[in-house]
Formats: sequence, C-alpha cells, structure tokens
Amino acid sequence: MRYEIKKLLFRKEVWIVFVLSIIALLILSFRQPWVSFSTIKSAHMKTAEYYSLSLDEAESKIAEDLKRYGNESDLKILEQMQKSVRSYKKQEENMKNLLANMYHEADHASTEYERRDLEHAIRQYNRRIDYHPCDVQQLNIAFLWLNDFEWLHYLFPLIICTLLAPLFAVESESGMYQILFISKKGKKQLFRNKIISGIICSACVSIIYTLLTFVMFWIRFGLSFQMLFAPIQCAEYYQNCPFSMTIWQFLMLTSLMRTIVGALLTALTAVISSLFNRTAIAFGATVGISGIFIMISRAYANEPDAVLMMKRLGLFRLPILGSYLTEYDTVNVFGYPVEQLWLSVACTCSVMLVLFSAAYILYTLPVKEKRKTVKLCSASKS
Amino acid sequence: MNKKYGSFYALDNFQTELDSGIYALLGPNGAGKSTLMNILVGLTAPTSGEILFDGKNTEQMGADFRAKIGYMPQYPGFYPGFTAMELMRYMADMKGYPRKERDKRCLELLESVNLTQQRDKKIKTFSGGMKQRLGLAQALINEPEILVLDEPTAGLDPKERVRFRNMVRKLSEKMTIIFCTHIVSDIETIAKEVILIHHGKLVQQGNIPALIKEMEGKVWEILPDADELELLLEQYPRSSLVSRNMQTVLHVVNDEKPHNDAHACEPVLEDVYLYQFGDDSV
Repeated sequence: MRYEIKKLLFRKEVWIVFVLSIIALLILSFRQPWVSFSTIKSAHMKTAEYYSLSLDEAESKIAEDLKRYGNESDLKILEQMQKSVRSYKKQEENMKNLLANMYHEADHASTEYERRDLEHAIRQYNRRIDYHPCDVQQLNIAFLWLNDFEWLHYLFPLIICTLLAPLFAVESESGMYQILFISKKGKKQLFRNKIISGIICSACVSIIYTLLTFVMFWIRFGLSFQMLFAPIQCAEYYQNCPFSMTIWQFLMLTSLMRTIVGALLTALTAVISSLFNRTAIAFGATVGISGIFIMISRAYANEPDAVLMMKRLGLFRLPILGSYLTEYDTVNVFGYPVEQLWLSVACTCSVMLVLFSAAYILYTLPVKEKRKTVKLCSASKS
Repeated sequence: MNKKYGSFYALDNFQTELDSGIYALLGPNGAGKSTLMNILVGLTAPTSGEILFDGKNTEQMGADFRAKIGYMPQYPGFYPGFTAMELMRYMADMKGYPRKERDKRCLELLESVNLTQQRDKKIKTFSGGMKQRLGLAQALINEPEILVLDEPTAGLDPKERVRFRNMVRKLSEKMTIIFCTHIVSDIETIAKEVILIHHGKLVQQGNIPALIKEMEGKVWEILPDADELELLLEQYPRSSLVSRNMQTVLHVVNDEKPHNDAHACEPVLEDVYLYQFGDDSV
C-alpha cells in the first residue's frame, strides 16, 4: 500500500499544487473581510461589559458612552453595538422562554424517545447560553466569512484530482504493468491496493485541508480554544441546523464528507484511467466532471427541474457541508422527512460503488494489445 | 495455439513443448515473438488453444502459475521516483515473497546483477544497461521455474552482454528459460534448443548442432569482383559480407551453388537464421 501512496505523492505537480493551495489559503485568509473585522473586535472588547447588564441598563450605558465619544467612527461602532446588544438580549430572552417551554414539554413527554430528544435539545441550548456573547458574535462573523469563500469548494476537488490522476494510469505509462500484472498477487490485489491508497490519500488531504482552513480562520478571528466545543447553532448561519453537534464535530464531519467525495473521485479516476490509461485524461475528465456537479449542486430554486434533480443527488456537494446544515426538509421514498445530508451520502456511496465495480471489471480485463503491423521488406531484383 | 487480431494471425497454430534449460526464441521483427511471450506470461489471452504447465491449464492455475513465472520485458519501464531497492521490495511484495527474507533476497539479487552500489539511487538516474540488469533482478525474486526474457541484451555493452549470458547459463540449471531475441550471437553458446518463429508459425525447433547440420551444403563463400559484388548481393538476399585475410568475402546461404567460384563452407547458427528469415531480415 505504501508504495502506491509513494507513487502518488512523489510527483512534482502534486507538491506544486499543495504549495500553491497553501499560499492561496494564506493570502485569502488574511485579506480584509467585507467588514473591518479588527474594528468590530475592538468594539466587542469595549462593549463586553454591556452584555453582563440587563437590556435597560445596557441601553443607558451605551447612550452615556455615545455622548462621551466624539469620534465619528467610534460612534458608528457603538451604534452597531447597541443594535447587537439589543438583538442579543432579545435572543437571550427568547431562548429562556424556549427553554422553559422545552422543560415543560420534557416533563410531559408522551414517549421516552420524545423526552430524551427534548433533554438533548435543552442541553444544546444550555451549552449555547454558556458561551460569552462576545465569543458568539465573533464566531458568527467568522462563519459568515468562511462561507463567503466559494473557491474553497472547488480547490479541494482540484487537489484530490491532481493527486489521484495517475493512480491507475501510471503502470501503463511507465510500462510497469508488464511485470506487475503477471505477479502472483496480480491485478486484483493491485486494484485493491490502489483503491485503498486513493481513499487513504483523500482522507489525509481532507483532514489536512479542513484543519488548515479552520486553524487559519480560527487564528485570523482570534477565537478561543473553548469555542471549538460550542454547539454549531452558536453560529447564526447554522442556528436552524437539525444536527446536535459541536464545532469540533462539525470539523470532523466536514473532513468525513470530503473523504467520501475523495473516495468518489478515486472511483471516477479509476474508471477513466482504466478506459484511457492516461494521467492527463484522467485529470482533465475528473476535474471537469466534478466541477460541473459542484456548479449544479450550487444551483438555485429557479433552475430547470433536471438541474434541481441533479442537485438532489448531491454528488460532489458533500464538501459544501454548510448548505446541508441549513436544509433538511427533504422527504424520502417512504414520505418521511430526512436530512438531505444523509440522503446525499447514501446517493454518493451508491454511485461510488457502481463506479468501483465498473473500474474493477475494466481494470481486470486482459491487456489490450495493439496489433503490430510490420512492413516486411525484401530485396527486389527490379 | 492461435492469436488473431481481426483477420491477421499473430500466432498461427503454434505448438511446442519445453523442458528445463535455455530455449532461444528466434525470429525477425513482427514474427509473433512478443505475442507469444505475452500469452505465455498471461498478459494476453490466446484466441484459441491453451498453455499447459505439468499438464495443468495455466489460465486455470491463475496465481499458482504466476508464482512460477519471472518476466523481463524488452524495455523494462520502472517508476522513475523509486530507488532500485524500493522497486525490488515492491516486486517482492507483489510476488508474495516472505517479508522476513525479503531484504536479504533483494540484496542478493542486486549483488548478482552488480547494482549493490546503486541500490539507493533513483531509477531515473540509471542507464539503459542498469535498467536491464534491474529488470533481470526483479524477474528472479520469486525464484521462478520459468524465466521469460524478452530481448534482454538490448542496450547492454559487450562486457555486460558476456556477463549477462554467463548469468543466464548459470540460472538455466534450475529453471526453464525462454530467451527471445533476434541477435544470434546472444544465444548460440548457451541455448539448449532454438525455436524459429515466422509469421506466427513455428518454422523449426531443435538443438543448435542439429540445426547447423541441416545447413551443410547450403552455405557458400565467394570472392567476388568489385563489379560482380552488387549484382550478387541483389541476387542473393540471404547473404552477408565478411572480411577474411584482408579480403571481402561474400557469405551466401542458398540451396544451390550460387557461383562457379563459390566453395562450400562450415555453417554457423547465423546461417540458419539467414536461411529461414533472410528475405525478411536483410
């Protein structure tokens, strides 16, 4: 297996793409976001105390401060903060009411399942309340910033395609197939090793890529380590998320979904390479196909039905995890609501299995040998 | 056995039987040697017919048969980023060689092909001859019972050629070696039998003395005039020029005496080759 991984990793183009991706991540993560983040952060620091006060007390304190600050930009910030504090306080109030209702419902739950479900939801909400509003605000901005980078969704498949392109074509291109296919372990073992190596490489890249992205934006926004254990619902973008998970778990889930897409790309590469035996074709075709599917998966409701159907399949959409955590109203074949994420996972895995089977059949077919036409020359008396 | 590509027969009713020792497979380019090798090692399937190993069908034997085969292709292409030792280890794993003894075996083989010093060097830095030697070393990892060598001396310098021949001769004591070539000098001193193949058909098979004996009375030498030389070369395509005692002598392979001044001479294996393939190979 490690030899298969070595074949993939010890190529210049892979490292060039890796380095360029890291540089792109660094440049883009440190560019100014659409709002002056440092300004908001300093404002949060100044106004942290407002959150500890009641709404009325906070409003009067802000009014006092507004009189004291002559500076126009400070005034603007404080006005923003006033809105933010007000909204937070209202939200806090709502949450308290909601929690009270939930406690009540839990006490009167008709089934054990319902009771446990509500208790779980209560725990999540309580944990959300445990976090300081300043940190929560910070997290909101950070997630909005992260979701704003569409290119992140395209970069990951590009890295994977670059890495996996020669997976099945390298033997034909180097001529090694002549001695490998006739070895005792033969094509079947080779195929197995290659598939497992492809998935391992995809998993490693997805974990590194996800961690790197998160670490960068965590540092960039100065988020605390404890925030990793906050519920994902802390971020306003995910407040309706149907899954009970922390940000740390969200990170893991993102890596897992990227790994699944990596495995799908491995299967796609296997089919294309088995057909054409060329790294360049495998690379071009996988990049093209995954690019089209990603574009389809980002389609809006007013797109044609066929496109929306394709979107539902969710192929290559899994790395865009955010969109799943806000959409969960899909109905399965039995008419029950299901989370779109698991539907996409099931669909992706099914397509992947079909592709792996096709690749296995194609790969284990006897070697195609071109007919060698040799022009035989003979001396002629004429 | 037959192998057809469309209407073209790459192998046409080919049948032979091999025992231990070195078998030289001789034939001009396009004769069907490589097709035969590919079928023999299991890379290609025949259109009809079968290969039997100790009476068992090799296709049905599958991995058991593959474990007995060692193959060195004509131009072994290796992963350029691998070192010689890494490639040997990789091949040992693919051939199912026991892990514990793997490194020892790889080192022994690299030593036998004189690549010990280059074992940690990347294959992309290797010369053609070094790659050929590495190709032989990898073919021997699994201690094969059948060793198939496809043009193994291509790219080797004369010294390496001699060394290679000696090594193959030594190996032939333990296994069946199929030595595919069109260079007669490579095999004339080591082959137990020669198999001549042309247009996919088995033309002749036998040991070297017997093949040479059949050529007696068919090999002639002429000391031609300068004016005659061109005409004779054209007339007898199965001929070659040799230098003897500072004179140019025309060596002709022909059933009948080609010239009044021609005299019969001792045939060699090359004459057998010229006799069979002269029209195509000149």
